[in-house]
Amino acid sequence: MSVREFVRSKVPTDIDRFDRRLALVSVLRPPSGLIIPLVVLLAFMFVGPIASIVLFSVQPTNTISLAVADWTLDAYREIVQGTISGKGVYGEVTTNTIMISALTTVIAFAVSYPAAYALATKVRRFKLPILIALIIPLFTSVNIRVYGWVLFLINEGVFDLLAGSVGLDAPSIIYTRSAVILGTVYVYLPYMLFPIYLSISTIDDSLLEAAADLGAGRTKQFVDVILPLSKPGVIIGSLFVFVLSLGAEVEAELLGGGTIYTAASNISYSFGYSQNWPLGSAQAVGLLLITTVCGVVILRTIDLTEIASRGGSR
Amino acid sequence: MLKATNLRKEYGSTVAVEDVDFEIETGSFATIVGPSGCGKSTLLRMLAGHLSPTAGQIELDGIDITDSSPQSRPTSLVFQSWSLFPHMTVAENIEFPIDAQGLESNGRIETLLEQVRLDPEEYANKQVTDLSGGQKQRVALARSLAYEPDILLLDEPLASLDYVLQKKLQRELTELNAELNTTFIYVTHSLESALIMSDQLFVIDDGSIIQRGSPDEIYQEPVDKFVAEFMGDANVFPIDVVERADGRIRIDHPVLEGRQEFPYGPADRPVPECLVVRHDDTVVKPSLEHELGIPVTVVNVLNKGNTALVETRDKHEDAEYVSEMSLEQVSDISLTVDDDAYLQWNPDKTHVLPKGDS
Repeated sequence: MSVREFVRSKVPTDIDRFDRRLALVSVLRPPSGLIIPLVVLLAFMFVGPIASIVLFSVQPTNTISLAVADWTLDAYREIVQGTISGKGVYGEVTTNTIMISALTTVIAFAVSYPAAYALATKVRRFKLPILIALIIPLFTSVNIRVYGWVLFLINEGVFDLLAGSVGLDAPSIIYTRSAVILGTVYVYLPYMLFPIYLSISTIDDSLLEAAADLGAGRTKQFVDVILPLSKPGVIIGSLFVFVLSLGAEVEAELLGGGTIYTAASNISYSFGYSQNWPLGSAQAVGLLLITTVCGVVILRTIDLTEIASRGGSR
Repeated sequence: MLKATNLRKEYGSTVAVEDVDFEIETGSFATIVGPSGCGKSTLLRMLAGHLSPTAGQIELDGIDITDSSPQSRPTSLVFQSWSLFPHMTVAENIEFPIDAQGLESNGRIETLLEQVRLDPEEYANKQVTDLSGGQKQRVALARSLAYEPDILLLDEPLASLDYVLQKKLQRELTELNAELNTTFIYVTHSLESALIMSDQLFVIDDGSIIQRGSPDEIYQEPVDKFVAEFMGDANVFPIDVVERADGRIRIDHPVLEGRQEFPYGPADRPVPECLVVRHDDTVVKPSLEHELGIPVTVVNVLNKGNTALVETRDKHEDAEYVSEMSLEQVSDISLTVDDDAYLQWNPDKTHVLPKGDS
């Protein structure tokens, strides 16, 4: 259906021309003026910068001031060729980024699901303090928390002292990919835990009663009712963690000690140390595209009407 | 037969269900009726196994099922909100109990859908979230029946449907009950559904059964003022008993004209405190033509369609009484507001009753 046909279908045909024009205006008007400030803010703070990055990404190497007419795909060519051939830093960047994001998502899920399930269904006492304790780290700067990890893990740091005191000679994992993953899991865990917790706690108790009533034991109740109904939380949580880990820079920088290159740290390097804005921009656009595709694909698998129908509606 | 003995449920110091006893014949349709918060849902949930009683026993065909889990109990509850699994299709919902028991469905889903009057071809693969209230109700019923329960428990499942649909489903439920050898226990606050559907009726208030019997018995002979008022719109006249002997009482009522003596027994029955007369058992006429009546002023005449409600005020005590009359009667007498008249009735329509708990 074309836009014109759509508008026509919304406008009654038995009214005169003037009313018809008025009705047309009301169809084209946004649903509510209340969202206008948000739209303006996003246009200014999101669309503007993104547009600049896209423009810079098609400029020749080391451009500092924009010359739109003088465009080239050199930066993209370098990234794509580097990634395909695995030469230079791009092969390592791709492997690291995907490994870190995927493992972070898997580990965060494995840790969060049982905890979210317990918090939503079993834990009665101290539930609020536990939830608050889980939220509070989010109020602290990521840098501070990650520096904490560095001081904890660093050679002859707290971890070594503790390990040594019980007679252990554990090799420190600092400045390895594992350390980076530890950091991303720690920082992004709440983004996995809370969506799952919410999706489990919005499951109507009477559904579990109905399941029990109809002869389902605990396993069937979990597998056939709780697990499928918590799927939206798992998907949204995984999307958050995966996408945020794709862009994780501080963790890679500090816990990787400058030896673990990820997409985000490489972008930062291009903009900063090597002053190659077009290359940094092209990488940013690539990362943004991957993120958007992931988001769209993943969100399409969730039945939003089912989630919206929860909470008492029939 | 389902038998409950001294069934009791306490929440802290609150007694929700107080020492309830009853027996319900296999295959019958029993209704537990009472106002909101009277303990009827608690009672039903104890029968389903979702709540364990504080004391007492539930037996099914001589076997004690008081402590058996909902999974292992041959009861199935149709929830007030239906509680269909939202992520499953109609067929998957109905298959759930069959699968939970480790059985194969073998065409039973189609049979069950037909039993609840849903076309299997049209509905089997629909998502339950796309159904209307009435259709969800039918699917919930089919799903419970798929469990093949000995006892089907229904917790006001029609409450949120519109009136016409309620009527239709009420009739279908009674037909289904007659078809199957399953006991139906239906909980409702709606007197009308209770009267229409049940073989056996339990009126419950404050956690206790106040009266039990066939709908007809209870309608004709309410045991106290609470039941009488609950069973239908009624006028209540407080009375003082002056004399009680030989199964009769003499009463004193300041404005009641006509007979002052009524049969009342047995001797151990609590002292009566009121006369109860249903609205539709009375008429309002300018002169006293029946054996009992009180002088009133007409306050309002409301047309209900096939009948009229004549609202009147007692001339002496300022109490309001209502008569439900046919439209012909009202127009024959040509009653208008502020007319002086008598609200009157015959003694055989008079219920002399103790007050009851509430």
